[in-house]
Amino acid sequence: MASKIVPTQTKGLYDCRVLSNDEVARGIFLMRLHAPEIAARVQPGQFVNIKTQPHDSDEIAPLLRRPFSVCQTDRNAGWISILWKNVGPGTRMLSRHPIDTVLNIIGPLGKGFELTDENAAVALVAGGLGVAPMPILAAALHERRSSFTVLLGARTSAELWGKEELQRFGAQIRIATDDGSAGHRGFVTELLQNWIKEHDPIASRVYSCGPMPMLERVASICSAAKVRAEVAVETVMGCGFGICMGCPIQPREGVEQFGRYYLACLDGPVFCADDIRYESTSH
Amino acid sequence: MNPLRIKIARLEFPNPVFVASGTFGYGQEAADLANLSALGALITKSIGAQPRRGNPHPRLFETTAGLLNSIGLQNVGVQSFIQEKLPFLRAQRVPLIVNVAGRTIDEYEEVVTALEAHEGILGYELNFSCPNVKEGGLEFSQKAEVTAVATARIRKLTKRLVIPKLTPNVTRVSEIARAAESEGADAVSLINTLTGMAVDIETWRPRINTIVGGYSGPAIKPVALAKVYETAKAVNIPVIGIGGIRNWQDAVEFFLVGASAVQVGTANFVDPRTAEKIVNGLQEYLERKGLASIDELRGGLRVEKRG
Repeated sequence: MASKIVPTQTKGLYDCRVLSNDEVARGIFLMRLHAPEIAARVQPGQFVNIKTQPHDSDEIAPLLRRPFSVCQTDRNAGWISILWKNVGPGTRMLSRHPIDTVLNIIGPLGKGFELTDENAAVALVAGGLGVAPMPILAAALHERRSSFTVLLGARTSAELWGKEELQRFGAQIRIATDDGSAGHRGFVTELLQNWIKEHDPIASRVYSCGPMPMLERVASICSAAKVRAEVAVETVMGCGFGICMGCPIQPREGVEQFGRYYLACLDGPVFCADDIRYESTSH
Repeated sequence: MNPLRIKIARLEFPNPVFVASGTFGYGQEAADLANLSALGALITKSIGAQPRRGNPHPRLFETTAGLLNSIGLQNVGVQSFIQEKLPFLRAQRVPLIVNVAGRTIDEYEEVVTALEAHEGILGYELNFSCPNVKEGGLEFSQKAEVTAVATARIRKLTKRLVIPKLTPNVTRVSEIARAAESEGADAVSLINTLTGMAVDIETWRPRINTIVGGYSGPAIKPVALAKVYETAKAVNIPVIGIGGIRNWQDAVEFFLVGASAVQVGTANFVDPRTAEKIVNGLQEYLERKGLASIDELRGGLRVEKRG
């Protein structure tokens, strides 16, 4: 058989030391992990799947790993960071770990954002914990000298994180909060509508991450304005690397994949906003 | 001599630790995380005659030390398997067993017939027990007569290993196993997932799309041990034990109740190196116990009255 197989060899399984684990906004934590192999290879929008118990623990629960977007990477110092929030048994476990705890991590995983070379207007749109992949994306865009705007949405100003982080990469920041405690009172997607109006017709690219209903809105706004948008979905996963098939994402009609499911872990977590249906992961 | 070597029918396997169908994809996905050549055998995700898209979200829900799934046999179909997946698997140094699924016996025959034309496959595990598809699957192994007829018809098609995979969702799994044995099965593997469910008390909705799904993980191990124990006493063919195995100690329990080999399932999602760790652990255990082979462990359960 002449079929040639080239293994991708991009992901690995590593024991990583916790370097810091700080509450950076109310209920939101930034954990830095010593992970030189992942730091060297990770692309914006990719994720890691973390066993939340210490690597030498025999505790069975939580059973599965938990997926986290890579938030920042420092290739020289060999660390990555993740942003997390206490939402269940997996993340509750993370809150217990002191510095120097060793966690087992699989990564980098998934398909990340496609970085644009076009010298046109770019916006990053984040809702809630969806800000997680934005710093690593901003750093990559900054390296390419693209100027860009970040639209940050949160429930309230106390739960907002990332402003200073993103400003370091030359981003212009606009903020929306549900209660008006910072920036625009309302949805971050309303900021997006304004941004597109201001930049018509040079708006070229939108990158977004957040809850499914928000991403659906981003997709419809961008589709109507004919702006290319990429969205990073947040969904339940089993293994994170394609063997359990537990994270189906429904393709939209007319897409080549129509009639089969995407897997969020392999085909995503970043998708072209027009390629997927958003109700498929809402409970 | 390799103390972990085992035989099923006339075929030799380098060790008795296999990876279960649906928990290791088609091998390629895990190849850069795990050493495939360390596995006793790799059993593929179920292959049907046609591609299947599987069930909608949500497909997974984690329970206490367990996992509910409703994947719905998503698979590429036998022709794509042969063209896209088999060449990679054949290039690995790992004994390969293809898991076969169908809605009707004809479909099982169609898949096996297509695969017979291709080298590098040691045998077929017949998925008679998937709880997550509407037709076929489970009902095959809930009735001894249907299991018997299906096994007999596949047996006629191949000299390769025929291994029906049985469901625990029956009154007496050993009767089903005996039916398979009488029609020429080389071994039986059990247990497939238990039926299970979970409910969201805020929305009053089931946690997975099919309402009831397949329950696996460490939580089901005691059930699996009891079913393997029952079956191993009832048949003379090898029993491959499956259910909640995540370390070598778990595997030893299965051998002691009569399993000839074991399969690691859900644990692969957490650590795709589980099987190779179990192999190492078994080796040390045999040495420590002064046993020359895994056969000396098999069925060694001491059940004489204590006193």
